[in-house]
Amino acid sequence: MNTNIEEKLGAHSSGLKLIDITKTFMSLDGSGEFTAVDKINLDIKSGELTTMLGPSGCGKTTTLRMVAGFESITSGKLLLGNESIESVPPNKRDMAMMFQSYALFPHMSVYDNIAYGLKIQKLPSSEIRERTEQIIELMQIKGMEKRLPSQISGGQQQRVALARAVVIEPKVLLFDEPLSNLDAKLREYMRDELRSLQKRLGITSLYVTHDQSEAMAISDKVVLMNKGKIMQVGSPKDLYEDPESKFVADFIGKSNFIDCKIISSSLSDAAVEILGKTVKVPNPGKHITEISGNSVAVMRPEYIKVTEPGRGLFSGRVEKAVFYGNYVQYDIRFNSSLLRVEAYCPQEIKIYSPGSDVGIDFDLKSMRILEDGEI
Amino acid sequence: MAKKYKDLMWKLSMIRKEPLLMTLILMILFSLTIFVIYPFFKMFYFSLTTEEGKFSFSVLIKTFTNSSYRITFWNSIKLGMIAAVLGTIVGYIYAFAITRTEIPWKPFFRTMATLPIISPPFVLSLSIIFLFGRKGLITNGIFGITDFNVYGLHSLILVQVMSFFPVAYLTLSGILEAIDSSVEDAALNLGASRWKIFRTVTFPLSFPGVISALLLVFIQSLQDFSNPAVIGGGYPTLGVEAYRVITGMYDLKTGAILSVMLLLPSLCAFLLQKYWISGKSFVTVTGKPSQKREKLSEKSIVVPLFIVCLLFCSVIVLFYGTVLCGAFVKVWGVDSTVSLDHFRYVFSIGWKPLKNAVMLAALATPVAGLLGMTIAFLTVRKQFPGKKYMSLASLLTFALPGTVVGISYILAFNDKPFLLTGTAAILVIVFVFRNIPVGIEGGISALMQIDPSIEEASTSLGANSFQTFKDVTLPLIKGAFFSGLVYSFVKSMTAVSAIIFLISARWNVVTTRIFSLFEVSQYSDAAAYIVVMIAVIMTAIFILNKLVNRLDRMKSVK
Repeated sequence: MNTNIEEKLGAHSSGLKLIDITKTFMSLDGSGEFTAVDKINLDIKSGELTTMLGPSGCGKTTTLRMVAGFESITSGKLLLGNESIESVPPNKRDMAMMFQSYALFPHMSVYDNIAYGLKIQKLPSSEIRERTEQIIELMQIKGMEKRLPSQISGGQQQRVALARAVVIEPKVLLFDEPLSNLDAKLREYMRDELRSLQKRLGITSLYVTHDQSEAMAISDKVVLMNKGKIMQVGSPKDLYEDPESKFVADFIGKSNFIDCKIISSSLSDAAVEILGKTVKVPNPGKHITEISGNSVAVMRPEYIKVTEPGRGLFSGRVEKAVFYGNYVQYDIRFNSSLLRVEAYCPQEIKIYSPGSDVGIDFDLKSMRILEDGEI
Repeated sequence: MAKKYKDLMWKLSMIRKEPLLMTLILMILFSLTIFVIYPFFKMFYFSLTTEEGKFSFSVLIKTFTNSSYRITFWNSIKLGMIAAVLGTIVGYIYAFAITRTEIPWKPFFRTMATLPIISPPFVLSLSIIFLFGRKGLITNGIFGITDFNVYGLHSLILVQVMSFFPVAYLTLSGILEAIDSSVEDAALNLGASRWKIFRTVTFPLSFPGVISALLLVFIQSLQDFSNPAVIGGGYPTLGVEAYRVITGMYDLKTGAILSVMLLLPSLCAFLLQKYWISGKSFVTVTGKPSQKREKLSEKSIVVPLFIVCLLFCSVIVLFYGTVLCGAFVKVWGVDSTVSLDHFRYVFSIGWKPLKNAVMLAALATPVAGLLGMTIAFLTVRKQFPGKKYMSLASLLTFALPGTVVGISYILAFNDKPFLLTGTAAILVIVFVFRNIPVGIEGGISALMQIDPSIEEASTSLGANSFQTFKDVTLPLIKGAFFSGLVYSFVKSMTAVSAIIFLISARWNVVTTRIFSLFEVSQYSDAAAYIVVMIAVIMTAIFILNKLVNRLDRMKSVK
């Protein structure tokens, strides 16, 4: 029976395209305008889960609400499949949204919440019952159909909200930070479950979150946004390994930024000068040839090695060492700045205490060269 | 600007996609214009033109300079101010005792405070006549005085304070309840005495509420028609004078000008209350469930407050009890045998106006209740051109004294194209548009507390605005819906000032019949009417409660 739903949902689902989507608000005093979303272009393939990630106020939720139809689009086009939907009212867009607060109807039972969308479609009652029961089984919330949302746990509310959205077989599922109300453990669990369900059902999904690990864990594609603009689009791996800008490198994972001077730049073999020393960077990133101003070298903390003083390319002094079990985190005074270093498997290596002088080695294969700028 | 325009066009196009919603918005805007705004301007226009239809201030100036009308004007203001001050003092003591102290009998005190709100007009006036009139129980029966004059300012003050203190009590108890008690605890912790805390912390924090209460009671007193009409005696007030001029001297123009004189202070007080005071509240609602706080329980505070409240309530009980007794007595003060004659009168000759009133109120109540919730929903949740106009026009009716509405309706609907005078429709329309503001305000504040994403969820599941409103919004704001319904039923049943100009031989209602009973001194028949009305209102509240509670069960699984 379940395979039945999965096939139906997958067949129903369709791609979504955002073309130059822009949103401007009047500023509060009415004098000027504020661009919340600035010419966003996105191509979401059918069955794919795309996450919009970014700090609060970056325009990700506004974009999602424009897609849902709750917010007007100042300019741009929105294509669902091949159909332009900017002027279709939200209840006719054939999308379902999952809200941050779940937005379950507090006065209806779990069953009525889930069946609501089907009742609105005026389907025959036998079909409503069948589909509702199917989804209740799929979501493993059997036995609580008659309870009110206030009488079930947060994780169960989450499932009911998802069931309610999925049961109407929407073309696109929209998620507005659906996990942010759960505690850390449950959040991780639900996130994995959500992802496996989405994959099984093959529903095109657009997901909004400000939590980068959540985005990394569930997405086919991550769209990193800042100040209304897309900073970078790519798979979680792309974003981590090949950030296009200092902002991306800083937002996704942790990064050390080290001032450097480019001596020679090519895509496969660049040379930069750091603190008077010239180092060869075998894979400096795709953007090295476009740098016009100052440049920085990006080093992830786990690719920096701490060794005995005198050894290594550079030297520094340990200011802080914190033992986390699976790794030791160092703050190392390096010239005028601090380097964040993560040394894994501390059982097998020597741990340096604060105040000790150490040698520093960079794993140059993982070093990326970016243009310096604001974060 | 271009973008603002574009946004507007988008909103318009979204509404146009829901033709039912657009039709509804247009219908509401249209009916507000016809039944609120149009009569309002018609009356201004009428009072500024001469008999020949020329624009002139002459009649206006003549009326204003007429010394007797000027005295009438100041009479109304004076009565309003005295009632406002005394009503607010009583209301404050009452609210403070109930919200901030551990006085006993709180449920009883609360019930006593709602009694004047839901009771028919004339009760207290009738009672004061029974008690202090020429054959009054106290004046004549106990002290043997025969020449005590019950009519006039002193009686009006007493009756209005009792009628309108609940308005002050409700306003102030909301504010006193919302004051975060930790600021008082902080003061106590700093070593201040209870009295000093009250003077320097509690009272200043509640001060915007005090001003608000003063203005609201002032408005109520100005708008009061029934009490001044029957016990005002030699103390003419604007509403009553306008009625006398129109019905006695057939001078519609002077009547209109008098009602404009009545409207202006009422409107000013309303605007002041709405836009100035309500923005000044210091009270912050955090949404954090604050701890249940210890209420004041010192004997030195509780006992005096309890005695004051009890004294005040016993006066209320005395007044209501007197009317109840009066209904069962053959002739008050003359023949005290128990009799059901007056009820026989009500259920025979007097049956029709009672039946009319119940029927008209029953027609108007669901319309007013639903319209109120709809306007609240539209103004809080929807975007459409004309929204500001809609909320202003719908709340304006609250500021308009009934006398003004009645007179302006005669002016506006006595002619084609809107020939409505003499029909039942005009009465229903008055009931609907006069009684929506309370529902709207309640609906708006209820909606503000509901996460809009609950309604968005319904939309995203495919429901249109109507389905969302019916299935989700209305059940969630049913508390406000219920109070809107009760308010409009009670006010429709008990209305006097507006409809006294609009009733006809065919469509007479119970309140105006009671009024005419006063004029022929058939006080006990009036008392029987009032007792029956109270019973009808109680029953209606009970039925409405049952109906509204079924709202969210309608959608359960079959």
